[in-house]
This record gives sequence, structure tokens and C-alpha cells, in this order.
Amino acid sequence: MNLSSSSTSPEEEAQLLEQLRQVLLSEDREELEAIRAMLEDEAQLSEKVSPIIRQHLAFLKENFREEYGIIIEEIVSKKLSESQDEIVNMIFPKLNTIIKKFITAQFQILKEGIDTQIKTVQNRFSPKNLFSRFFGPSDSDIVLSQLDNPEVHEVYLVQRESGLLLGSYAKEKNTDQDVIAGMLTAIKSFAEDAFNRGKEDLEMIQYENYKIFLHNLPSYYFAVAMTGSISTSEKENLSNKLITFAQENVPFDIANVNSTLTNRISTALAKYFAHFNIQE
Amino acid sequence: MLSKKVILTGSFGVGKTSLFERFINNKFENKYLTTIGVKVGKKLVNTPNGDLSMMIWDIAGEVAQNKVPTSYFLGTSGIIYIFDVSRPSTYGNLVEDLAYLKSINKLTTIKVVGNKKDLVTEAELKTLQEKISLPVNLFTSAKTGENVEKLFLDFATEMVG
Repeated sequence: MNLSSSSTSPEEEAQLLEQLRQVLLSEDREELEAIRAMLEDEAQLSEKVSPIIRQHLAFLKENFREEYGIIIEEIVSKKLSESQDEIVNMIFPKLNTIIKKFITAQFQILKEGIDTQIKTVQNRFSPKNLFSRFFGPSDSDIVLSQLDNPEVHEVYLVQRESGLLLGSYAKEKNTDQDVIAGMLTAIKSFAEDAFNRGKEDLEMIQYENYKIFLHNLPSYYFAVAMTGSISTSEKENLSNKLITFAQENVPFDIANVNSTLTNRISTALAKYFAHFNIQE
Repeated sequence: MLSKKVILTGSFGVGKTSLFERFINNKFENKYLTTIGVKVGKKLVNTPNGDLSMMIWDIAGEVAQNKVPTSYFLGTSGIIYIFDVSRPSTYGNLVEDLAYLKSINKLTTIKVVGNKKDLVTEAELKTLQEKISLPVNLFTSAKTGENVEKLFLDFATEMVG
């Protein structure tokens, strides 16, 4: 067959070419059709491919750490170091709550344990014990308070509205006590205003183991800075002592705050709180 | 020695903290840092009428005074209302603000002070004074320190007297 013969027209040439294709490629075309049919038929494709995927998955399952471990470790470690702050911010509140809950629960268990033990052992029917059981602090309060004794470090007497210092006592001389009195009043005013609590007063400021108890009276307030655990009965005891101090040492007219007044009250506070024992 | 509480108030960025720092620590910072809540400082002032321990509350600036927590103004002996002479928006509410401050604390003395005097000319100050219907007690510059001591000393003398 001569395709380049000058006696054949272009149409005849094309026809001859097609015939040639039929002869040479018919087998390949059939195979191609079969492959296409298999690719388009999901069942057939799955039958062919699934064993290969399964085999590869099994290989990965066995060898994942060796194959990809280092890369994944690098990615995770990079991501963690990049997002350290976010992670801390995300975890800390949850962790904090969990720890707090745990400590509270443990203290409750300890408290109940102490109460049960003491109740079992002691003679509960002696007049002395009967009296203290009804009118004194609870046994657990006594034991707990002995573990972490409360200690008064500073006492401030502050004019309620102006925040002017009426008198103060501190075991160790610290920064300007007038400024502390002013800032405490500003914090109190801010908190009371911000939370819109009407006539209610801020009663405590706490950071870590340091607490500032605020005992509010109509025209002035006490701020007692202390460390340690304080039981409800001790808190009540402290309030009573502060009221007694006020009755004995604070004049009715405190409108004009001057150094004579503050010196007099400060001396009285020092006398009263230098050897103060909250449990007495 | 007497103790008195004085409040510095006004719109934000008028220079309350700068006046506070200039008077108490004799310092001036060019950088603007907004005050959060309140800053309390103390200065002992010797006046011809006697000594005074001045407790100064520098409170966060607000566009209108009725936005400031009322409790900050309680028990105060004096209020210094500060505006910025170079920013008309800071004295736009002057009349309403003063009326409000007088209504919440009737016995308190209020001083009106135009700060940042160094940013305008004497002629501009004169025009400004004419424009404001209420008298301005003093024009100050926390930057140069001009009239700052005078402001607090005059106020302290008045309070002790």
C-alpha cells in the first residue's frame, strides 16, 4: 500500500489511514475501553483498588511512627511553641477551677473527718463541751485555724466618702498610707458603682494568701490586711473588736480630718493591734 | 494639719494626669497614656493660712461628666475641671458639666482651668475666654509648668482659709 501515491485523492488517503489504524490499534482500543468501563463502574474500581489501599493502610498502621513520626513531632512542637500564650490562656482558667474545686473538696473532707473524729472521742455530755458545742467555734474551725494562723499586718481607718485616712497601724512601715487609703476607697467606689449593687458594700479584696477585710460603718470603714485562714467565727470576732475599738476611740465628729485626729487614732490602733490575737 | 480631697476631672486627653504629675512629682511625660479608673496622690502644701495635706484624685477622662461614677465625687472639698485650650470639643460641654458637678456636690468649690497654654498664643487665649460664657480661673501648661504651682497653692489656701 502506497499512501503517498499521487493517484489517490485526500479522502481515499484518510480512509486508508483509518483502515491502517483499525488493523494496528484495535487491540489497544479494546483494552482502553475495558479500563474506562472499569473506572466508571464504582464496584469494579473498588474491587481493584481496595486491596491496594488496605495493604497501604496496614503498612502505615505498622510503620506510621517510623515514616511520619519525626515530621508530625516537628509540626506539633513548632505549633505549640508558636501558640504558647494562647494555650496557657485557654488551659489556665479550666485548670484553676479544677484545682480550686479539688482544694475546696479536700478541705471539706478534712473538715468532716476532723468533726467526726472529735465527736467520737470527746465526752460530748460534759457541761463545758456542751456549751462550746453550741456557742463556740466548730471543732474543724479550731483545727484548721491552727494549721494556718491568721495574722493582722495592717489596719486602716478611712473616712468613707472622701477616702481620707483617719488613722492606721502597720507592723512594717510601707508606702504612703494616705495614698493606700485613697486607692482602697477608689477601688471600693469603683466596684460598688460598676456592679450597681445599690447600698451594698465591698467586704473583701483578696489576692493569693493576702486578704483585705473591709468593715463598713456609716461614716468610715476599717480595712484590715491579713494573711492566713480565717474562720467565720474569727471573722465575727474581728468585726466585734473593730466595733469596740470604734466606740472607744473614734469621735463622732470626723468631718474635719487633721493630723491631731489621725495621730490620736493611729496611736490607739497601734496599742490595740500590736499584740492582737484574732482567736481571743 | 488638715487633709482635703481634690478631684481633677474633664474630658480625656486634656492633661489631668500631666498636671497631677507636674504638681506632685515635678515631671512631664510627652507620651499620652490614658488613665484607667483613678490614680490617687498626695502633696503637702504650705499656704499662708496653714499647711494642707492635699489628696488628689486624678480620674479617667470622660466626654461628659455624668459618665463619671458619682461616688468618686463624694466627700471632695474641691474639683478642678480641666479643658484643653487647643481642642474646642473639650470645653463644648462646660456649662452642662459644671451644672452637673454643682448638682451632685453643692458645697464643693469648683475651679475651671484651661490647660496646654503653651500650644496657643495670648491672642487666641483672649478670644477663647470671650467665647466661653463662664470665667476660666487659670490657664496652665503642664509641659512648661506655668501656673501649675499657683493653681494648687491658690486652691489650697482657699480651702484652709
